[in-house]
Amino acid sequence: MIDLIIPVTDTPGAKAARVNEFIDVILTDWANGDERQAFLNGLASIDKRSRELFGKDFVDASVEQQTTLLRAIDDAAMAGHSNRRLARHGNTIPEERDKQLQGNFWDVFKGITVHGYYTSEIGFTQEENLQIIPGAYHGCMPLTGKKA
Amino acid sequence: MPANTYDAIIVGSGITGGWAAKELTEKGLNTLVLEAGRTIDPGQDYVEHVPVWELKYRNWDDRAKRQKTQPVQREVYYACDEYSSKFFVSDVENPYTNVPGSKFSWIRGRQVGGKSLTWGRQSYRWSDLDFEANLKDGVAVDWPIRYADIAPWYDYVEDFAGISGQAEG
Repeated sequence: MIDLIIPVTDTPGAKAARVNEFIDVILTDWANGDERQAFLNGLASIDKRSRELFGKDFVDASVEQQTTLLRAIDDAAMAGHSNRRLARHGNTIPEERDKQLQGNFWDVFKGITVHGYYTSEIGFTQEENLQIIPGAYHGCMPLTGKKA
Repeated sequence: MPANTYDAIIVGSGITGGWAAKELTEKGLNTLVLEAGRTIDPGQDYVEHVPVWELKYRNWDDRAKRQKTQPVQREVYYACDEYSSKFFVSDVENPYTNVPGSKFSWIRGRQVGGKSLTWGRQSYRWSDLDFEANLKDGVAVDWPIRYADIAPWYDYVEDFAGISGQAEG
């Protein structure tokens, strides 16, 4: 599933960035019992939907089938977001802290995938091209049209 | 161990104690600084250069432990996080009491350098709005000083610490 959310493009995707291992650490050491169970229930619901639509578990469905299923879930989740501010991760304000695994399963799953990716070495250095200690500041540069 | 006599003994090596030590030693006083916390090795202990992927929880932090040992310190959510919580005290080992019904979040460090290690590097001068606040609000005691008394000392300290600002309009 993580590989469908952040696939390989001209940079490695979530699977290469081992986001699944980050999810494992969070589920094992960070989540409380309820959150863990809710997450596992969410994964089971994906399988259930897959069996209803395609007669197979999610992992056995084709890439096209998997993409169709997740896109439908994502569209539905996005439609419900218009008034709700999404949870922030990291140094987030106290009211929103500690809730990364709470709420709608798709929001939780997509959120942890995105966070796990952009805090990985691949996501940080390759995809985002960030540096912890930035180099010089060039005040005046010609535009080249290249990605920053 | 031979007995030593000091002209000054400073308790704490944080921003205040550190500054006092600087001033007193520069003026020739034999000065002893006492620090309750551990020493810090900048090469090993500083966290500015730690990449987020080296944090176990990628800065979601070990919240169970944090809630248990540092429930007050973690109110400073932008500083007491997975990187820097080690620079804040354990609330379990350092309890304090409040006037019933009131709330006071006592944020403390306990290491060489104290809270200078977690200082956010922004220092704004207080104006007479602040110095006169008690008087104007009718709260507590009117402070016996005003901005004019402190201004030259702001200059003095800011010059050394490299604090600067610019009228941006």
